[in-house]
Amino acid sequence: MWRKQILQVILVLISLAPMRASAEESEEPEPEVGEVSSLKQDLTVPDSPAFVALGLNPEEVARPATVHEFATAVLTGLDKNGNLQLGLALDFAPYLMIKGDDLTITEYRASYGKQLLSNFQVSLATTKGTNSDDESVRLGLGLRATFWNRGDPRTDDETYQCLVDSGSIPDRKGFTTPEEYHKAVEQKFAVVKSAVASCITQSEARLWNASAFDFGAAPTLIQEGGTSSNISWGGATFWSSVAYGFDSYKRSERKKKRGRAAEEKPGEEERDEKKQTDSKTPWATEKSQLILHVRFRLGEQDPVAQDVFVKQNNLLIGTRWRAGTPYLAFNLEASYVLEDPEGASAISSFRGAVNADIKIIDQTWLLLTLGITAARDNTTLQLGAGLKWGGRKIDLASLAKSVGDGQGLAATAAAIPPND
Amino acid sequence: MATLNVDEDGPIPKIKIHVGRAQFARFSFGLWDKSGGTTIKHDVYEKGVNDEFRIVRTRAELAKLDGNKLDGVVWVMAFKGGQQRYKVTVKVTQGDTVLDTWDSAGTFSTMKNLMKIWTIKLV
Repeated sequence: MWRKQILQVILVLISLAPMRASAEESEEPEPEVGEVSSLKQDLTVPDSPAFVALGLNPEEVARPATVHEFATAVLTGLDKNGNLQLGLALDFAPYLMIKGDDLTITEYRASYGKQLLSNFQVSLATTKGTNSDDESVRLGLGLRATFWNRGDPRTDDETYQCLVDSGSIPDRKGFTTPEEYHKAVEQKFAVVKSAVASCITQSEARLWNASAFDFGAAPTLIQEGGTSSNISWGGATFWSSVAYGFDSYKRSERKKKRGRAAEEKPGEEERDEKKQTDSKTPWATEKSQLILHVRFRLGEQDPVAQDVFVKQNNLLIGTRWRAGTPYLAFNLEASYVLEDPEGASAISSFRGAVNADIKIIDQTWLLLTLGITAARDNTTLQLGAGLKWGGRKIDLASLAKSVGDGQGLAATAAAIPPND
Repeated sequence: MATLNVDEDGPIPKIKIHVGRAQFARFSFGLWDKSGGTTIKHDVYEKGVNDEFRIVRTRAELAKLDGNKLDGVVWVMAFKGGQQRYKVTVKVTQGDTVLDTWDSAGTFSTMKNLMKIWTIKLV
C-alpha cells in the first residue's frame, strides 16, 4: 500500500518538470526542479578516485572503507558538460591481491598497518569523448587510503563477539560415524547461519555512521584531439573526508550498560527501568553522522569546444549532517565552492541543501532535495527528485524533460488509487 | 575419502589450520573408532593460539589409530554482507612430513560450511 503511495509521490514529482521552464522565463528567482546530482554534493572520498577525477561520476553513495579487491568495468557516462564518455576502469587492492590468502583475522585485528594496507585501493581509468567537442582521451590513476575507520566490522568488538556467540559446531558424542555426524552439522549450520546473518544486520545498523578518515588522490593525463603526440598533464584531484559518528559517547554508554548488566541479573521491573534509561540516549548520537569534506582539483581541464580546454582550479569545502535509519535518511549540507579559471577571475559560491533518502524496497531509494546556491550575482533555489537503485541513479526531473511536458505522467499518478 | 599414511614409529601427527582473507572461523576436529567419535579440538580460530594441535596425546594412543577416521569441520563466518572470499588450509603433518593438505578457497555470503573425512592407515 505505502509503496503505491510512494510511487504516486514520484510521479507527481515527475509532473513538476514544467516548473523549470516557467522559472527560466521569469526574472525573479523561483523554485525550479533541478537535478539531484547537482544539488547533492558528494562529500566522500570516491571508491574509484581515478574515474571520478576524469569527470565522470559513478553515482555511488560511498562511505569509508568499501574495498574492491579486484574489479574491472566498461563504463559509459556523461561528463559534467554533457559529453558522452566511454571508459575502462580497473580497481584493485594490491595488498589483498598479494597477501590476502595469508592474512588472518588475528593479524588484521592486531595490526593497524595491515588494516591500512588492506584498505588501500588503487584505481586506473581511461575515458574517451565521443563527440566533436571532446575527442580527448584521458588517463587517471587513483589512490585511496582509509587512515581511520571505527566502522570496520572486523575490528569491531561487538561484531566479533556476536559471531563468537552465534553458535558452536555440534559435539561428536552420540554419533557413531563421521558421515552421520556431518549430517547433524549441516542441520545446525542452517540455524547458526541465520544467527550470523543477524550479527551482520546488527553490525551494519550500528556502524553505518561510525567515525572514519579517508584520503584519495588522482593525477590524470590528457591526450587532446586523440593524437598520441599531444599528451599533457590533465590535472589532479585530492579528496579528504572526516566522518564523526559520536562514537566516544556511544561507547561510553555501552560500557555503562555492560557494567550494569555484569553487576546484577535484573528482574522484569529492573529491565523496564533500564529500557527507560537507554531510551534517554540522545537520538542524534545513535542515528547521525557529521562529515567534513575537502576536495581540491588542480589544473582541471574543461572542454569548451573542439580541442579547446579551459584550465581551472576548483576547491570544495563541505559539511554534512546525516541522520536517519537504514530506511530513511536526512542530510543537511553546506558547502563552499571556489572555481578559479586560468585567465579569468575566480568565482565562489555557497550551496546549502536539505536532502531526504527514502528506501522504497531493497537497494532502491527515492531521493528528494531542496537546495539553494548563492553566487556573486545569482541566487537559485532548486527542488529535485531522483531514484537510485543498485549503482544507478536517475534524476526524475531530467526524465520528465525528456518525455515531454509531464502532464500525461501527472494524469497517470492521479489514476492510481490511494489505497489497496 | 583421503587416506593418511601415518608412520607408527614416527612423531605424533599434528593438525595445523590457517584461515586467510581475514575471516572469522570456528573449527572442530575429531577421531572416530568403532565406538563413536571423540573431539580432538574445538575452538574459534586464532592464529598462534590454537591453530596447531596434536591428534592424540601419547604414542600408545597413536598405535591404536589404524583403520580409524579423522574428520574436520570448519565454519567460516562473514563480518559483513555481500560476497566474501575465504581461504582455509588444513595440513596434517608428522614431523616434517605433510601427510595431507586440505585446501579450500572461494566466495561465500554469510557463512560457509567445510567438512572433510580421512581414513588413518598405520604404516
